[in-house]
Amino acid sequence: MYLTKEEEAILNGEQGNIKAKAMRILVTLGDIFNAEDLIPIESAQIAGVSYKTIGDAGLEFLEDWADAQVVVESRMNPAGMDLQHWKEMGISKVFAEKQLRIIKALTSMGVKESCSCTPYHAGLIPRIGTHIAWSESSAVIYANSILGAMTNREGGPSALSAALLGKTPNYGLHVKDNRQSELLFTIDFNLSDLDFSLLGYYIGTIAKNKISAIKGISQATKIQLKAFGAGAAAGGGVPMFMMEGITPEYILREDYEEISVDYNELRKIQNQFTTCHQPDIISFGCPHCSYEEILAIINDIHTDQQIWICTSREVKEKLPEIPQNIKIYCDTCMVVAPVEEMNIKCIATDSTKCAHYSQNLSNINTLLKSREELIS
Amino acid sequence: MKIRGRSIVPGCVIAKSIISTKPISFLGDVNPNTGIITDKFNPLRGQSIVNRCLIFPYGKGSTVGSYILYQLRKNNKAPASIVNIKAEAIVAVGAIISDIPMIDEVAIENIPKDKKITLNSTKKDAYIEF
Repeated sequence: MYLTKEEEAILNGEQGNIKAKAMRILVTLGDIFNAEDLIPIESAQIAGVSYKTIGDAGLEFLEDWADAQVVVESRMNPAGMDLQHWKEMGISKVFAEKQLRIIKALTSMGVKESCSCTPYHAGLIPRIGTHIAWSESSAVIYANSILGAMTNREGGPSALSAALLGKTPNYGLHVKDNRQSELLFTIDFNLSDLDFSLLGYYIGTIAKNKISAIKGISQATKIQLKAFGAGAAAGGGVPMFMMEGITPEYILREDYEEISVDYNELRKIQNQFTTCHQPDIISFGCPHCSYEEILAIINDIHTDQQIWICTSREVKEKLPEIPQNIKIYCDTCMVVAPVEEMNIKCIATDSTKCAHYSQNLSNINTLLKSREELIS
Repeated sequence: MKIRGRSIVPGCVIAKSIISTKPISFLGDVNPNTGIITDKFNPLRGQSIVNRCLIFPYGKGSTVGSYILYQLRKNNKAPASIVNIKAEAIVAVGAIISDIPMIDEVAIENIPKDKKITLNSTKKDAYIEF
């Protein structure tokens, strides 16, 4: 890979040991994936923030790197708890102390204490055609597909390295010619809100980590597309989708394969994610809710059941008064909070991503239904 | 015998080989406090990777695996060197942050087990010799 004199100097330790390591990470990834050079990025979004997911290993690493400073706007993925109201959530003191150390390490590097999987609902909206280094899978697919920004699916350390250097290796989805789909999924039925999440998940299981194009959807809101993308990124590892007439990019490779989607596949996934019927908690906000989504819940709610809504601090600050049975938690979500330690056995959700990780990461039962059904 | 590869992390080190024919997920397959392989499906289960030349096809699993290599290093339980058929992001990043000399693009089937392996990894030349 080609390096400028300045980049070469950083690699040789001119700006200290940590930036040299960060540069080595970017250069090595560039070599592995055949990047030509490094390109400047406008922002970074760093995953691997929850103590539940990165443990003592990640905590030690981040504390050892805490002296370095980021050079572009950088945000964190959700942490394992609401950083202010963790006691209310039932988080143990041991967990909370370690979680706060992780946040302290990241903020001392200059990463903004804005822990969200939807930075685009919290004031960070990359412009079309700009390069970024994001790592949260649902944010990556949203940025590539709906905003038309360009990012690979970064891991925690590579996104942090990009933040410290303001650059990323130029390969994969940073290269315009690679932003084409070899898969075309055709749909011949109408989709409810929940169906967008189910369809995304289903396409993810087929497409694995390939870009996926979709034909036959006449219209979709950004919130429906957010749910679709989160599902596709959780069911497989889809980094970008293209919908005919909807997304800014829609380019098929010449040798594309066409796959017709059977409506029953969506119902099968809903059944697979319905393993309990008496939820301890109804949870919304996977990915984090926007202001409008929370207003819609508040306006339509009929149930008395306990509801947790996860969102960003930026959205919470704008909210009007909320009904008593709704708790708004920020900085965290049900995927990365230690729900298995919080006496929750059955969680109701409208998100295939939340259901997937609740079952596979936290080992708890799920009830997957539409938002309207859950709050009626 | 000398086998050439590609330098991923520079360094020169001599260590005894331990060879896994299966891909390794450091999160879940290796105990970060002891350096013992714990993967039920790996024939090397119960063996130690501490200070060995760890040879395996490629990494798999969670990206947290990079941090597990780092924790092994901090606990003085890290492998001395790593050889892969094909480096991927998890192991490469883990080896970089943990200062473990590493090369890839090596055909690992010809490497003998439990034998002293010299790994030399520089930008100009990367090889193992035994």
